[in-house]
Amino acid sequence: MEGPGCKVQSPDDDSESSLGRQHPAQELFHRAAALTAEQWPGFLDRACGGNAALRLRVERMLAADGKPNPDWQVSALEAFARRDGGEPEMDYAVRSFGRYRVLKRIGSGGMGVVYKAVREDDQYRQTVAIKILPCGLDTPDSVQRFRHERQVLANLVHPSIARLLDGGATDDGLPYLVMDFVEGLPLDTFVKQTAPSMADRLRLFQRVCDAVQFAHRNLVVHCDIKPANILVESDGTPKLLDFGISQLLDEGHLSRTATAPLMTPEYASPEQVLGKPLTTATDVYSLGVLLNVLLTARRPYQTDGERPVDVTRAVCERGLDTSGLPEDLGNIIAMATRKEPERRYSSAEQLSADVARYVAHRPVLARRDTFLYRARKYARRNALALALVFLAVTAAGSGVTVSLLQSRRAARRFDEIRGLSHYLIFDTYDGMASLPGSTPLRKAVVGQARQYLDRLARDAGDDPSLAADIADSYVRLGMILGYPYIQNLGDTPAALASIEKARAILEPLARKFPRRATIAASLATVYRRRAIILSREDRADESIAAARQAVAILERSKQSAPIDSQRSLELARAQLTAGAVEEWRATEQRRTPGFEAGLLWMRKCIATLEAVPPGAGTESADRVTLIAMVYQNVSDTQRNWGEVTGDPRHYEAALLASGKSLAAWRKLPADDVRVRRDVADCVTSMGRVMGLLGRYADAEQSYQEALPEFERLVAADRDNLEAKQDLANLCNYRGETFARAGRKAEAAHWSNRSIPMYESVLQHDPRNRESAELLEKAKARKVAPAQPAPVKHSIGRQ
Amino acid sequence: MADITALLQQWRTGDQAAVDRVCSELYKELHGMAARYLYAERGGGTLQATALVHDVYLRLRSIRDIDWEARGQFLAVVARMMRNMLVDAARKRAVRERGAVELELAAKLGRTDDFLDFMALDVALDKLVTESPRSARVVELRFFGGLDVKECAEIMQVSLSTVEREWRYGRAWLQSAITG
Repeated sequence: MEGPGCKVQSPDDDSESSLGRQHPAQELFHRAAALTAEQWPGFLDRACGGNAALRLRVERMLAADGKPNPDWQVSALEAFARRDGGEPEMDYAVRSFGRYRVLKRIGSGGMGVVYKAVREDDQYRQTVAIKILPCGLDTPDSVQRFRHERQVLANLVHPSIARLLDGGATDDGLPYLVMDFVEGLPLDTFVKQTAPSMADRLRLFQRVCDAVQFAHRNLVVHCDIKPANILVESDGTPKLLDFGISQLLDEGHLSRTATAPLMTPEYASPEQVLGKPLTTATDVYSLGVLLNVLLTARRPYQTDGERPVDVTRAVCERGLDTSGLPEDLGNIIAMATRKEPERRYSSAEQLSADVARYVAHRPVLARRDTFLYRARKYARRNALALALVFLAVTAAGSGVTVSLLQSRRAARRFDEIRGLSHYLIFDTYDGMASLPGSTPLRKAVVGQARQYLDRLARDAGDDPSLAADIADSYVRLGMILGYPYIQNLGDTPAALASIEKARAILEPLARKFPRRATIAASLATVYRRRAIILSREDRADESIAAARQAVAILERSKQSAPIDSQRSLELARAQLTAGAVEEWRATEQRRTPGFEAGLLWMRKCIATLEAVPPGAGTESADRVTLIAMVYQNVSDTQRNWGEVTGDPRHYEAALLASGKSLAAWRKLPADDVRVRRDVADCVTSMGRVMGLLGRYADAEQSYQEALPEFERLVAADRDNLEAKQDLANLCNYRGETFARAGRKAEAAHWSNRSIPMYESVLQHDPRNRESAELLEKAKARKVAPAQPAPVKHSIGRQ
Repeated sequence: MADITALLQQWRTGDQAAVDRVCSELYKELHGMAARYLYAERGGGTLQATALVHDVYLRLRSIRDIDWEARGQFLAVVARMMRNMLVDAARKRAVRERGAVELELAAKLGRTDDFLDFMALDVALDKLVTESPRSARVVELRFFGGLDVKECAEIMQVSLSTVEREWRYGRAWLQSAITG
């Protein structure tokens, strides 16, 4: 508050005040505001006395009052919108960019607004085009892209490429580019207005090819070649504009997949539409479309609507309409626009050369051959991706037709969803597990994907690679439906059915192409997956047969083709599965020879793994994972063997193996949900063995360590059956250990806790025999819930 | 929006659950409208900004069959939500811009003060409320809630001239607090 000496009149001539005393500053402000600025000093001298702080405040408020921020004239929402880059032409038309003065806005395309501007120095006057990123699109992604454009363009100096002259940032921090101002007409308009001869059109096209080839030699793909991006100057020189989404090719001449390409779908290649890796072949494709437009003046694809999915479909399924063109030109266009990148001209230069051959009346390289047939096949092969795109877009649009062409935002959303769909179905299972909470979404997507796959499989024909793709998709789908060791939808019968479909496709192929190692590996995988799913059902004999089949297939394939590390790992997996199933049946039947057989398989598996060179990256992680898994299985076998014979040496062996397993798990990245689950599982299992050895304190410590991890996983996704089962198991084992320790109340508490979880698992997955058995054991330990659970009390103190 | 009227009736009877429901419905509605508005604006705007804002508030204010007290409460809540929403958006944008600035935006020519800094405004408004609560309320209702002087006066049960005075003072106070 203000100090003494402040002479303020008693507050408030405003009788309506119900909010108490007015602040002295406010009183002074209003009184001063009624005076003229000249009268203020005298008034404030008198009114504030020696209170300099108060005086300063009032003075500053009076100054602010005299120059109100224009934002106060409007509502906050409007002010925010103005700030957020609404009506950029009004914002920037009056501004300067460094040395450049804006003359007018000449358009907005892609992701930037373009102004015509002029550089006026003492020395010379130059007209330029300035492209600026509107604030509204000011995402890190678009800023990054913008910067990229600047670097790329700076290195490209060619008579048919609009040059980058300068770059900078506005006073709002928005990046802009200064480029050659090209005075010309967009290619399609130019053709319409000047109606050049066929020969002139082809020459024009060849010049565009030259520019693209030049960019390719500089490791730049344009990725958005279309008439609007090519201006023809009055002397007939074409100039390529807008490298906004071009991407620097890396050393391997293969850029990473464009995560959200802002392409114009009609001119985009199938690989672009499907979000696959982009190469120079992408530009060759767009050049082919461009040539067709140049020669026929037809839009590339006549689609019914402009829904993204319509255009996407058209790009992937249909060929261009080249009717009315000389056959050779039609063939050239067809060859440039083949759906498979590798079947196109290998460069813009080659495309141009074939055009030159046509012009010179020499035979062209392009042949019509099986173009339409192949196009349909390509569409089929990628139909799952398409189906998912379709689903995602329909779901997102919720009845509203969004136009990709009109809405960049829709395009981005579309790409995001497509990415998600790809991720769900095509990426690794580890990836799936790291998407907690996604089960309902996956359920919906998977249901549709399954129907689509069935349709695909029906008319797949006899193309082995397509069939293998479909089989692969069936296996993955099966796993998502009900594979025990990943996040799954708990539908075991559907999972088995899906995997059986894969087997039915692959088996005849493997017979037909016995030397194809990849088909053998795929088939072995199918059998192994089947074995694992069956092992969780009550079908031990079938499971063992399937596992042995998997091993046999790989051993056979080893004889016909040298084994690589990938197939070695697959062999190890098959051996491990065989061992695990043997062990499980032995436990089931309480027969010791089964344990020995199981351990034998596991030893073979360890030998296979030791023969695989450590390798790098994923391969190495796979190997470490397998090592962890096989030792965990050895541990389980020893423990179960011990439970059958009562010989504690088995428990010691089990603990030893668990230790090796844990050491291997801990080599893997701990931020991976999957790895954390496996570590917790291993720790739980060690707790159980320690309990069997009577080391109750150690056991309790292990359970306490593992519990929070499982609880987190269950909380993250309530539909995650595996997590639920893991948690139920831990509680159940803890109950078992307490029971051994003779602590009945705790035993009952933890056993009780596991029961509803098992019941919930079994409700969704009634054939889950492991859960069913453990539920029975838990129920056997259950006592009347009259005694409250002594949670704080630990058996560890005994 | 249809059931908001009904919910508001319950609100008057002091049903806390109804209040919570109204608020969550309202926030969604408001957020959607604001987003649509900002998007249309950003897209190069064929829509008149003022007309749209008017539309936003008209929809929210078209609830006629509740008494003034409830309506006043309601509009005050709207204004507060609008404030939170915009300040939040401004904060996100600032984070983004700071990221962008790091991207070698060397030639920065010194920032103009054409625009209000929403985050600073938010902080200042919290201070103003302790010193001149009535003034702060007018600013919130007028600037964030988009109400005119007459509506503010009705809601706050004060004269038009008082609203004008408080508005002028609050504006000057906040602006000097932000730029100082």
